[in-house]
Amino acid sequence: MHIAEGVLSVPVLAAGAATTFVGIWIGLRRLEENRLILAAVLAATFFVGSLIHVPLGPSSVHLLLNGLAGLLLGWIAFPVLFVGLLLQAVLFQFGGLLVLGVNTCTVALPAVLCGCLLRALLARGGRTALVAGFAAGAGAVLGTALLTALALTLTDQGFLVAAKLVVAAHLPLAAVEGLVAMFAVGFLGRTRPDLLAGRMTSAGEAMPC
Amino acid sequence: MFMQITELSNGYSRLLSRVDPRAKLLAAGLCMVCVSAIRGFDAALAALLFALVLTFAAGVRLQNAVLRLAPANVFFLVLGFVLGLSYPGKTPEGIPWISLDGLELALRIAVKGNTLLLVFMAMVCTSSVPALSHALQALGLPRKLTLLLAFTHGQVFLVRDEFHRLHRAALARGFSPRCTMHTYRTYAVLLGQTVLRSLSRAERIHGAMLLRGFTGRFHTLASPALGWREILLVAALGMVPVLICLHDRWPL
Repeated sequence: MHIAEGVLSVPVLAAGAATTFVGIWIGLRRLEENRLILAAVLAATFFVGSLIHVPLGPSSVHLLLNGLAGLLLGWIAFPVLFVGLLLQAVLFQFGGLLVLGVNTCTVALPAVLCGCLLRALLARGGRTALVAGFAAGAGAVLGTALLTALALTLTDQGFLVAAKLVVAAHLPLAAVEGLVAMFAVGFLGRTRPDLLAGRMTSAGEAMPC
Repeated sequence: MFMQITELSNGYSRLLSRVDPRAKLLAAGLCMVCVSAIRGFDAALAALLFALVLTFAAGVRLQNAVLRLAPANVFFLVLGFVLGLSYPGKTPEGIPWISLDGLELALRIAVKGNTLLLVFMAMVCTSSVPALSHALQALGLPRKLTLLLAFTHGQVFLVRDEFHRLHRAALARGFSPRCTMHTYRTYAVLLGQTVLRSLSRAERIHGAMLLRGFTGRFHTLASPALGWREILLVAALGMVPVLICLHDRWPL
């Protein structure tokens, strides 16, 4: 979800940028130098994944994949999603430079929260992991929609109807994201269970949450 | 199904595309802050005119600019529709359900939004991502973050090709995307497979980079100098929105 340039007020832009700054700072502290390539490859995967249009009813939606990123990367999802959104702004003009802080905050903050809350359930495997995958996928998208609506409403009370529509429009996407994240967790659980236990390399080194 | 990735920095040799990305980033930041502070509609239109001139000076093709502005303008159109029907304020005589204030606000947002995007396109997107990554590092962004940006940009095209291959293989096996559980499971498996292949590629790349003596720094062959002429040019460009903004806030 990208809020376009020119919509939000300066205080909201500043608050979003400050939150993103803190998130990126924590994420970078947890990202070790020798995992940069790993994080970059996953960032590229989430970037590419978010460009896929998945059928939904008579139309199609593009995935956010922030829930899955939060589950796999924890706080490192903040710099990873920031880089993805910056690339989307540069390559497609989705979002923009001034609104990048708010857009990162709305996408990455729910992702990190879902990741940190639900990661422990992934390690249990089986149905519990699938439920955690669905909850992370759907919850992160709902969180993104709610934060976007909050940013619009804090800018101007007159945006309240638009903010409600943003949340309503994200409900079907949340369901699709939940399903995709659930199936992806199931697939990763069968092929690389170590990933769901918080280990991102075959060497068994952990990506801390 | 899949969005094409194209870069504005390819093949442009106009004046602005040769300017040092650091100077362009600073000027873009200044311009964008000034444009976002504009309140009046006349000043917003003047800034839009300036942004159009800037886009022409940067050598961005009209077709490219229109295509890139389209998604934001769809958003502005929807916002205008919603605000026009729901924003509190004046209504035209005989049509009480339309808000003139809402329509005016939506129009101002659209003009400012397009201006900001055009400035961003002309000043930032005409530089390559590796050059931007260098410039951001020179401007004080953490090295890890700029390296992450450069690495990610390098990997995006490989991962995209990887995903395309997997998707084509699925289509060849009779996969037809529909709004069904099978479709979502297939996309999830394609994504999961891409993640797995990406992880093993990451390990190979990391090993190869260490073998080639990577010490955490990228060196670029293209190193445009930040000379006085460039600084003056960018300062002159940056001054225009500053003056527009000042005139908007404190008219003579």
